[in-house]
Amino acid sequence: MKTPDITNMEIHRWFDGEMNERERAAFDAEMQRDPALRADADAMQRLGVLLRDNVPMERAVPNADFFNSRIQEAIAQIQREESPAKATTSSLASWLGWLRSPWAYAAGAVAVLALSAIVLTREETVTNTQVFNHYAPSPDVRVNAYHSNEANATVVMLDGLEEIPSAKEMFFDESSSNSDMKMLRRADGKVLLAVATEAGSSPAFPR
Amino acid sequence: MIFNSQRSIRMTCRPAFLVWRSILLAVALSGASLIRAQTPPLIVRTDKVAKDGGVWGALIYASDKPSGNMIQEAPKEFPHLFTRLGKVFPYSNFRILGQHDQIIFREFESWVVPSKEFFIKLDSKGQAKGGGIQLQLQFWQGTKVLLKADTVLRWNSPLFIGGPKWRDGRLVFVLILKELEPETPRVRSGR
Repeated sequence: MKTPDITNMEIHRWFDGEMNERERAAFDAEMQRDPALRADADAMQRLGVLLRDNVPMERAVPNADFFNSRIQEAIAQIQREESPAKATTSSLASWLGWLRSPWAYAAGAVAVLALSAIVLTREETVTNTQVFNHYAPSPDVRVNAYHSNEANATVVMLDGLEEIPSAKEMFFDESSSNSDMKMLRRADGKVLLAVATEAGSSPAFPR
Repeated sequence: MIFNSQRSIRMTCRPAFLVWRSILLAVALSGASLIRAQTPPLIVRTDKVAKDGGVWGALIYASDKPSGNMIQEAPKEFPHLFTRLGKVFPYSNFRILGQHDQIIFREFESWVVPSKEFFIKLDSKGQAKGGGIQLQLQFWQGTKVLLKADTVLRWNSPLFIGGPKWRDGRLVFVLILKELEPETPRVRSGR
């Protein structure tokens, strides 16, 4: 049995030849003195011989390219992870380098002024017909003005108007009617001027 | 006595005054005839009148019942007019009772008269920013003003005025900005 001072680790180191000269001399002296240690050391040597004789120490790599491909893939993955960071860093560095130019401050000031001018002078483009003010002289009439997005039209709804009698003819055939509204037409029939001859109507006289 | 003497003087002067007045009248008439004979025909050129644009106005009958003697087709310039009217007014049929193209004069009021009963007076306030025409609008029914409004009429954006009920539906006045047509000068007699 080995002494408590000699551990299994030291026996392994002796067996594997990892001891220096001083340690090996001390270990040999201890084996001379301790027969149990000597027996353990001999048993380990026999076990080693037995293993070397019966267990093949070299095994062929199942597929050499397998490991190479794994290694190459790992390297590529690392490069992929590193390359965007490098690109970002280099791009940012170039931008910062441009900003360090003395012209950058002047260009920045001009850009700020231009942007301010655009913002200040920008007016919302209105494309719809608008009704700003409306007034109905009759107190019975209610006016509701709004824009219908669905119809793309501006609507002025007059509610409360007196209903027109059904018998009243509204169809306006200027050629056959005995209208009190006299029309001045041009050669193609377009109405240029309408003059109401009945009292109270509003003829289209120039201002 | 004084009264009588003044009267006698007036009586004695009267024949001479009548003679002179007749002579003056004859000269004036002959001069007028001469001028009239030399006056060229008056050429009415509306293209010389400042104008801000043109509008198309129509009185439309909206109802759920078709009617025979009314225009059922939308104008060529606004083919989707009835569809757009249907989005606002809950009726299935729209008929044009009357329509009127009108120039919007810059210095004169303009009347859009598609109907004997309903018409619109427009006073132009000039071109609007972003396109269109600024207008003071009056919507008339006969001798009454139903509505006064300040508007900006813009392209492809009609104004629908919902008017009174009539028969089984409602009357609607439509006002749309349109391109001016090229005009030819017209000749009118100088009389």
